[in-house]
Amino acid sequence: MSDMILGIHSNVSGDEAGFTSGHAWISIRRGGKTTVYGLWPDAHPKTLDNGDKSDIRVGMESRSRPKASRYYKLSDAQSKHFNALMRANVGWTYTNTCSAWASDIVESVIGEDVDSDDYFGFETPRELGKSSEELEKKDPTSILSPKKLTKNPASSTQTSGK
Amino acid sequence: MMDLRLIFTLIAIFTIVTGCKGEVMSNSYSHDELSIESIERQDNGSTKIVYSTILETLYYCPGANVTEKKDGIHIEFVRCPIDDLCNVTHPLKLENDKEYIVIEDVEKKLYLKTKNDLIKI
Repeated sequence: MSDMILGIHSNVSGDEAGFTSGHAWISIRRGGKTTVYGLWPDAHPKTLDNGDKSDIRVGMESRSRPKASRYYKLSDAQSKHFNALMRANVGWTYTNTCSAWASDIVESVIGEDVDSDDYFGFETPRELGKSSEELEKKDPTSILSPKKLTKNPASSTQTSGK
Repeated sequence: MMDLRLIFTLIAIFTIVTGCKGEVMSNSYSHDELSIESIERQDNGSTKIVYSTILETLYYCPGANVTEKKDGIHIEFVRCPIDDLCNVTHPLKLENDKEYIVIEDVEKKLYLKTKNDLIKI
């Protein structure tokens, strides 16, 4: 059994945050070490414009405090699927935001919908934070007590190119 | 790929809807989106303020606007859209991944101006 724990995070939650506010990201805890992954536009001053290469950036959120988080224990198959998804060439766009991407990763690897759909189908960190909090109320998780595998949806590979 | 005209139409509708709700895009941070990590008096009389702001995909902090008022010096960290170059009186500096500004010759009290508050620091 894998020792990997997947986390999904947002630093804003609900309607008190603005439509365009905040950021959402994912994390993996493996062998006691946590690595964070986020989808960032090339135009952001905190990133390096890497052209057509993937907009999945590693480590940018390592000092960020999430407002809402949810955690999942991964099986071997899910861990393998997660690793493949992190190697994909994914582009940030207004219709494939940090929230859309983080939500899709959890859906693809775990099969749980941490919904981030906001007005007009745009996906936002505030909606992801709110959904995460709602799921946590019904079925709490933590890094020490992640949600256990109930089914294995990690059967297909997500490929979203730039 | 979604048609650009459709995106602009949706943004226009969104602007109207959020305008009706009174949601305003702010160019400053609220108290819980901003953290002052340290304030150090330098040997040359200047003051170094190390800070951090909430990470946002669509905004960044280029530094602060510092203004001298009767009661003291007001420091307002600016929240800038990523496609804008917001001019600030005190641009951010970086040292070991820490963001900071330097204010010269501070004699007066320092106040942090946020979206809703003015706090003495």
